Amino acid sequence: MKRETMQKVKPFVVLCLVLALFLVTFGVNPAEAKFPAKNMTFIIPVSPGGGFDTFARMLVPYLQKYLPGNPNIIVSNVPGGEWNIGITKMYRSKPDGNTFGILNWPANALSQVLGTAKFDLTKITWLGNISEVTYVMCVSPQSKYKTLQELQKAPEVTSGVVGLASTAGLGTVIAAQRLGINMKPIPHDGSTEAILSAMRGDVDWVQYPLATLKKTIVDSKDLIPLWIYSKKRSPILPDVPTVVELGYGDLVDLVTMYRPVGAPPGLPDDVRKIWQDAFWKATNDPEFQKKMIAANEPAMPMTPEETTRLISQGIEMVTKYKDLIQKYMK
Amino acid sequence: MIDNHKQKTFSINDRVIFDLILFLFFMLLAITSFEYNPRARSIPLGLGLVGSVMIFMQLLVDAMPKLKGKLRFISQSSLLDTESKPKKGRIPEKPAHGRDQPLLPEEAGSRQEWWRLFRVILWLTGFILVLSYVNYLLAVGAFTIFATRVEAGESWKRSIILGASVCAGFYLLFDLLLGAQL
Amino acid sequence: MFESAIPALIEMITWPAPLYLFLGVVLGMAFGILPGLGGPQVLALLLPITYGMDVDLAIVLLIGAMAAVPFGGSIPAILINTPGTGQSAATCFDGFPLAQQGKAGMAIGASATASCLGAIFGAVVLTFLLPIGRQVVLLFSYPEYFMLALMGLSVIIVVSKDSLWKGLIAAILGLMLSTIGYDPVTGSVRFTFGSDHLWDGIRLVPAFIGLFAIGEAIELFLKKGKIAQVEYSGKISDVFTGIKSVFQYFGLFFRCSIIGTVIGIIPGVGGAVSNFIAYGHALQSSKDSDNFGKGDIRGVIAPEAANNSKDGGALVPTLIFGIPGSIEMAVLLGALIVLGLEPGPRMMLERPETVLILIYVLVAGNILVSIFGLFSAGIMVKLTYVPATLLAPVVFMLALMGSYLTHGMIFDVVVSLIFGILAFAMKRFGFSRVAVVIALVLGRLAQKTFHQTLMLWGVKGFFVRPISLGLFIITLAMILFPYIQAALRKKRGA
Repeated sequence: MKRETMQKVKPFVVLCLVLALFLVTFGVNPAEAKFPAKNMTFIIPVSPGGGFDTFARMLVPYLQKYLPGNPNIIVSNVPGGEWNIGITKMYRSKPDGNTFGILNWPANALSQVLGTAKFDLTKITWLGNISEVTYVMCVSPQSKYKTLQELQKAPEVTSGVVGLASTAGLGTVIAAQRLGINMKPIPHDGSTEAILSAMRGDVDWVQYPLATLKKTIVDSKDLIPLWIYSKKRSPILPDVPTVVELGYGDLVDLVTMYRPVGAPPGLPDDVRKIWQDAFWKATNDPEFQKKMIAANEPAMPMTPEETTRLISQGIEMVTKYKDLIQKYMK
Repeated sequence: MIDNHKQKTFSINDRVIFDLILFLFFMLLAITSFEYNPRARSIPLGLGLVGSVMIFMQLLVDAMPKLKGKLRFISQSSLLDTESKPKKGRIPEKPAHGRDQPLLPEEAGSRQEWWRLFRVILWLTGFILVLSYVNYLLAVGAFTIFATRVEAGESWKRSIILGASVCAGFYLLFDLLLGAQL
Repeated sequence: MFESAIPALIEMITWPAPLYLFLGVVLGMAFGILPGLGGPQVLALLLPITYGMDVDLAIVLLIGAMAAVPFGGSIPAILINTPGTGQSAATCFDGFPLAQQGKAGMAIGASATASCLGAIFGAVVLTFLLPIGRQVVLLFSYPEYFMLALMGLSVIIVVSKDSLWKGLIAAILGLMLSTIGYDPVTGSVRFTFGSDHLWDGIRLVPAFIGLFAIGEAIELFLKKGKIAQVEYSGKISDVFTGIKSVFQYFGLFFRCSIIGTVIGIIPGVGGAVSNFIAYGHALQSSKDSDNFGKGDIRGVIAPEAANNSKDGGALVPTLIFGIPGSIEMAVLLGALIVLGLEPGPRMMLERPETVLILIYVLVAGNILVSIFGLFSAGIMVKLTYVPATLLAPVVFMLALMGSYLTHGMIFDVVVSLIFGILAFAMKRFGFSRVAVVIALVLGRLAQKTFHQTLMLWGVKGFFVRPISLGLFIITLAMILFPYIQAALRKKRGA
């Protein structure tokens, strides 16, 4: 009996020792990461391939250039929950300067204003902004209404939106109210589907970033641009009037998207200064700016103070329109 | 021919429990759907109610074999009763297409099998825990070793060899070859 | 575009392109074979490697991998009843019984041939459709999508022929599960019970992995002994019989290739279920369908043709509009954009060689992987002689890791586990897993387009447009056909 038991026990003990060794090697966490760590993480709360993903990745080499120690920045896509999962992940990560993330402004203000956010935007350590996105309003060639006056007089105008938690959606709702257009939003799964709908003539109105719509307006002429939400006319669409010319200049700020970047709250002061300095230099780097222009979206660097102001203004604006938004969500 | 008198009128076997779980699930969703706006509510509510009714009837048939004769449409194969004629005794269920062959009632889920399934789930839960908190290679290796040793009854040597090779295979493929970030 | 046909071909043959093709195919085949890993995972893992690579070479690598996946996935489906990827699930139905009868070689032969030819069919359609694809895709609006989804759902009725009640219950389960999450169309977040992770609903890849790979792994674990009941004859002629059978049943093969391609073309309709729909069609259209499920070679030809031809079809909306036609296309699309390409009308004009290389690699990859498969069939069949309990842990690990790898979330692994348990229970009690899968995949599309049509045009929206009305009539005909046939037979018999 004894020998049998011994035979059974021996390999078991060996296994336990091996496991213990494994645990020690792999399981024990390394010491607290110093800043700047060898590997940093840039969280992008959407799937790869969209505008945010593309421009964030474009900035990465310039961040590496100006951050001390030439760290390796790993881009991590954390999609889900309409940006919430990614933002929450960034918000909750260790405030040692090694993790940061990009946000979609002002759309990301929505969950906080509605009370469902697991983060507080005002507490985020804002590093700066990458660019400012200009929106273009287009109608379908099959639409019955082709001018602002016709739209205002129309009994009902359908618009293709993705959801109200997007800047395009928010912008459409706010613009419709401001312009006095009786608008019925038709929701879609993604911006491509919404744009397709307008191309088919199923909806009258879509508005999206100029970079996104450029090929549909200019190259294939599938959509008709009516106005652009910016202070000056765009060189790409020289014949399209701005909302300022139409008399609704306040819509420029309301319907413009930003790409701010932030780090978790509670960053130590010295780390924060290094970061903000590096970010400012990166977004102002002439080579980076040239690349952004080539991609149809000029960079718009903002200081941390300007970014913080942008955030509080955005929260204010969305709060002002909270009731209107909630009406559409019913 | 099975003697109907010997069977209980209402028996709770594992089939009935599964039906019950489905029933509760449908009801849960149907009731929760009242929280949402009318358009969002419409499809889940409708489907939930229809599903609840259907699974409840299935439950009755599974629990009370005598009903099978009366509610034949639940067991039959098509909407129109063109081919099936009432058979004496129990109506055997024909296997659904797609290899989802149900076991005959005599075989259905012996206690032992459910117990084994439960153990498998425990192992897998352990795997998931180790995966999330420690390291994936360790989780893979440990699970393979323990599962093979304990459940399959293989020798320690064989288990460790299998565990080590699976570990090595994963390491090769993911860490070295593809540089995945896990 | 066709002027670049020869230059593109030359570029593909120039070194190092063939090396990348080979690597891609080997990887794709490996990922296809390993249950739990598949197209999305291999593309997601190859993507970082392609940054900074020459664009055309990157395409060769990525598409080569993608092309090899469907056939790779059918190998374990035949050998151990565990599909390597969700799109090969229907191959299990008749492939595995064939393996059990010692005819695995025949199944693999038929699968390789149907896959390769199906892919070529899809690629040919793709090539000719690309120039006019825009108009085709634009013809389809919300009502048409709904009718297509409905048609897909009606396959459930065909496939649950022998237990309609339970099949319908399973379908309702699938539809209910598809309502979980944020729904932009109704503007509400349903049934998440506070969990952030359920916000996007039940993700399809973990669900597939759970229902098929884990479900089978549990079976393997509980079973004792080996899989093959019969000694493998090891005859090469077996494989040739399989190859010949595709030509024997060429009509079926051709129709299923069409089905796969069409399903692939219409974006979002569910490339994932093309193999089930093809299988259902084979069932319906065959006079003597009693042998299906027991080792009818037609049950292998049908899904294998469809799941390869769909890739060609799925590239149409992906390249023309940037709307993914299937799950793999969604990942591929991200890859193309990060590589600097802009899928759209301009890509066809500005980079026709890239588009053509893409198509060529799709074909070449399929041919290559089929050849690999045919040659290694003998070795792979040996797997069926390994004790099932040794296979089970490996399958578990692959499946769960595959789930984890797609998005790096533990939650997906948990989802897979739950679906695995559900699959086991469903098998035991006679509920059709296929019904759940079809309903889960098509549910969202059906509901979304249903509401969208009602919002814009009301109920009549479904019936006034010619295409959607036509699709509706075809669906009705498909459902009622067997009953009409039976009634006519009765009349004649009386």
